[in-house]
Amino acid sequence: MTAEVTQDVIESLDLDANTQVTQDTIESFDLDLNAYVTQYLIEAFDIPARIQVTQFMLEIFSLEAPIGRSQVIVIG
Amino acid sequence: MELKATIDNAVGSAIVQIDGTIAINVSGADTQATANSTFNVIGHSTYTVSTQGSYIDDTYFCDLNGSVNNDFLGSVKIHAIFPTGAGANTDWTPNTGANYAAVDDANPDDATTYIQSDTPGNKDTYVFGNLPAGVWDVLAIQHNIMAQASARTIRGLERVGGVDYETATATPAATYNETLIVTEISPDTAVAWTQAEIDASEFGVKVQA
Repeated sequence: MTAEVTQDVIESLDLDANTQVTQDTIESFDLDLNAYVTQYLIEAFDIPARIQVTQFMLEIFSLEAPIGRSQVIVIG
Repeated sequence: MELKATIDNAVGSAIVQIDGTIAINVSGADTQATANSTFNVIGHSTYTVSTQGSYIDDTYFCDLNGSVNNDFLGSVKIHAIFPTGAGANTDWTPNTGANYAAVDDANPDDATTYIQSDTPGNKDTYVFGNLPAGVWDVLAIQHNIMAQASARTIRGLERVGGVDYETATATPAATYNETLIVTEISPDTAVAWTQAEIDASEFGVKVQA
C-alpha cells in the first residue's frame, strides 16, 4: 500500500481519531509501515511525537546463598 | 531448578539442575520439533484442580550475548525496587505531583499518574531505597519501564558517581506495555554491579530520539 492510497483510506473513514481508535485502525489495515507511511499516518491522525511513562522500577538479579551451601558460585 | 538446552535435530541437549545438582542430562538427541532452532514459549505445568494455580518467581533467562551470564547462574533472587525521591534530572513533565511520584507505583496506573516528554535529550532520574540486607553478588539490573510512545525512542539512565550513563535504545509500544532493558555490568567500572554502587546510584529514563 502506498502513501497515497493510505491517505485516501484515512480520509474516507472520517474518524474521530482518539489515540485508541488510531491504534486499532492502523493495525486493522495491516499496512507495511515504512518510516514514510508511519510519519504520514501520525500526521494524519494528529498524534504528537512523545513518550509517556507510568511506571519505572528496577529488578536486581543477584545470587542468593541457599541454606547449607556456599555463597560463592562461579558464573560461566 | 535450572534448565540449559541446545535445540538441534541431531546434537541437541538438555541439562536440568535442581539446587545445583544435575537431575537430567540428555545429549546427542533430536530436540528440534520444527524447522526453527529457536523457542518462543516456556510452559509451567502443575497437577492441580481447575480452581488452583501456582506462583513462580525469580525466573531468569540467559542467552549467549555478552561475556557474562551465559551458563547456569545458581540460586537467583530478584529484588524489585521503586523510586523514593527525585534525582538530579527532572526534565520530563508529570501530569500531577512530583516526577518520581508519578512513576513509583507498585502496580502501574496508566493514565492516572505519568510523566511525558516529546523532547529528545530530556532526562529523568530517581533515587531508590537501599537493597535489602542479604544481597550478595549482583548479576544484572533490569529497567522495567511501563511506557507508550509515538515516533519516539527511549533509553534507560544509570547515574553512577554523578555521571549519566545511557543504556541501549528501546522503542516502546503505542499503548502502555513493558519496555525491558538489561545491563549486566556497571557502566562505571565495567565489572559486576555491587550492592553499595546500586544503593548510591540514580536510575531513570531519557528521550533518545
